Amino acid sequence: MTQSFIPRTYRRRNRTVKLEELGNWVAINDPADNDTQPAAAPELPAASAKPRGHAPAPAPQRAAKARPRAMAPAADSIRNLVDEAAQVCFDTLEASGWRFEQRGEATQRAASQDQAKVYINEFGNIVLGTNRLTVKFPSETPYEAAKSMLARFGCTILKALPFGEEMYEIEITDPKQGDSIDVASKLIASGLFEFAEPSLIETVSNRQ
Amino acid sequence: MKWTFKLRGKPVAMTLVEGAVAVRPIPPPESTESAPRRGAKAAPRRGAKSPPKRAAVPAAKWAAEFGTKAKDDSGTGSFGIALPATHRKLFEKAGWQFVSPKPTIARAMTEGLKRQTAKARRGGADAIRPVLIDPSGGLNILTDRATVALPPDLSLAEAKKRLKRDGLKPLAQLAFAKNTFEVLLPDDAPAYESINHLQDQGDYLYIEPSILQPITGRMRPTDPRYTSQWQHANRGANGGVAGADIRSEIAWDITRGQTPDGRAIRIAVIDNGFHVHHPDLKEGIVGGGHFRSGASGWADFIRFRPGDIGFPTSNHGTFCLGMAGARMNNDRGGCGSAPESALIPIACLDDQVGTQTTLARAIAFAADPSKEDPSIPAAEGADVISASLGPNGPDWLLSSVLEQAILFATTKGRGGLGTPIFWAVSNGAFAVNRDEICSHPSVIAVGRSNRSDLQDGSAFGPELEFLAPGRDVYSTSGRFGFDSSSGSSFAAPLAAGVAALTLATHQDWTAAQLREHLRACCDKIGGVPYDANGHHPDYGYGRINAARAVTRQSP
Repeated sequence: MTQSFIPRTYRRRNRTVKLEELGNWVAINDPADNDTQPAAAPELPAASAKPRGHAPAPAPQRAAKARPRAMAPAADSIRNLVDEAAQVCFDTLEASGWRFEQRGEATQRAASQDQAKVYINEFGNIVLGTNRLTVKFPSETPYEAAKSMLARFGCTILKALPFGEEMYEIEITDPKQGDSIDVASKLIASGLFEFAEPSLIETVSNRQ
Repeated sequence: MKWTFKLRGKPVAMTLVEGAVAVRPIPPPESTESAPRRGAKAAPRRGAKSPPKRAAVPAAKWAAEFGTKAKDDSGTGSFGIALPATHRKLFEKAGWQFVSPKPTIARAMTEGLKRQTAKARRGGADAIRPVLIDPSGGLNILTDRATVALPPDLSLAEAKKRLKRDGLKPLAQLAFAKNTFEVLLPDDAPAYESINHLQDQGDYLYIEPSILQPITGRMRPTDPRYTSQWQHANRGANGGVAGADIRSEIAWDITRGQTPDGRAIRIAVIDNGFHVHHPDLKEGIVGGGHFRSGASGWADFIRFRPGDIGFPTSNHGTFCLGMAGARMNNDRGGCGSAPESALIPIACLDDQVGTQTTLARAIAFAADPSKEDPSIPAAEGADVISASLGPNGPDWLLSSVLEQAILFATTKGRGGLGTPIFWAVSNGAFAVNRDEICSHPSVIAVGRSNRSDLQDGSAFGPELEFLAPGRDVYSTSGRFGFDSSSGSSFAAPLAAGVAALTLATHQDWTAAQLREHLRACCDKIGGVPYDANGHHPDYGYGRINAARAVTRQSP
């Protein structure tokens, strides 16, 4: 099967960020596979956030015990497409409940499974797409005006981010608008936003 | 007013505090023998006689005779100048009171010692003395005495004759050097004028004022594994270099993370998780929270209250938290650089996967928790933030939302003074600027040094702020334990603790002032040439120095 590496770009802090989308692959976070993971769709409208209490979380040491999923054949295949540096990303993502499947196989699965696009960033690390973005309007943009502007792009406000003026976490509710990178480009092109950036899931280790 | 005099032939400039005097009331007879003297070097008593014993001075009479007593320990109080409260308390234990003098007392301070003594006795005190602030910000009291040395070839009679000529009354001859005396200064002038006059005259090998200053025992923790913590006091063990440390013990003489009025400086440590019930940490934890990431990329916030269970755990976060604020003198392990600070563990990306929005919220929460949970007052935000998270490898892009959070914390935190953010640089020998978070101008990028006071291979470049010990350092680990480990991860919270000590003594400083001060207080280690700004790509501004940070008065 021919592998598809799709060049993607978006604007981040006044510069263009380049990604490569692994078009044949999706990342899946299936609650049935990992009962410690909350159910929410990365590239589909997500469930509203609600407190879950302090159930034991998959801390790195504990999560590492769930590694057998990393041995799934599909994951091994996608690992062959990336450099050695990205292998650690796969380890971490798989430990946190993500697995990787060919797009055709994945689309045959139940719709309840959470699927995310898979990207390689410019440093060779794996990042996952979500259907969310962070946006900032110019100062003193009223909330209602912000809402209606976002509606034109098929987006709704999920939460205000109160450490910046008129800054919001939004989600794409109209799939026809495209994925979060498509929508970010449209929002920036509209000139209505100070910034609009896709929320990408990345691996962040520690500096021990 | 500045007063410059010579010590060992070199000029020393002190501030003569014009708005304050030190008064030592004569204690009531029953307490004369037990008058506390700890903490300050007691002034030699005049002659061999005890001072007249009188009843304690009633408060009203005190005010009428001398002026208004100091009431607060912080800020400028009623003096128009800050009196370092830690020192002030030591003097007060030794029987001194600090007073904003009424006009007649203030005038007497400029007229001469005889007049000062008369005023003191009339008010029921045995001394009124000028207050000095030394170059490091320490509080001192100028006495009416001096130490004077005459040429050794003079006979005793000739020496005494010269003293008499200059109005100096010998109180004691010091046995360890010939013709060296403790003398009473002339009573027709203030002590500082007499010292200047006699030093200018040049007839003595030296004549130096007797100044009362706090001299306390050096704080050395009793924690059983403290000796493993070379980061605080390196005595040269295990191949290290004695003194290659952050000078914690000297700093702890001044503060261990609490302000003079007892408020614990709050340190937020952001990491994957923490053993919040670790016995060497739990007493210090006052709040915190957990941002629990979901597959959507969004994280739910769960507030942590001391005693809650189920917080995500991580040895790394536990180690970091201990580097900053593990408790002191509790018979467990070692201690952090600010062992009496208040700790705020914030867990996010607990499976090391998540979005920068989550990290941004964690930083904003640290600086102002009301932004995440309106039920928590903004005032419960951290004074200092430390983070040691980062991707594998040297490269990290900064998102706009995380930048917004960084700017928010560093400008709006601490009620608008700004909450400084210390961030561990990458452990590899890469340029710091490949990491857009650490190299952001509002982030203080911390690298690691080793026990020989050399850089230890962490990221370098003009954005590197300074180094702190991070190789084979000892801290809290696991649910109950302790361990040694290495990483710039651990240098950052150690430095954050030093920042907490500094803010404990300078609560009104902005984040920018604090940063400038910490830079200026670094030791220029490594034997390398630093540039005109005092920076070296591998060492930043040097290795952080806690002692200098809490004692020096800049900016």
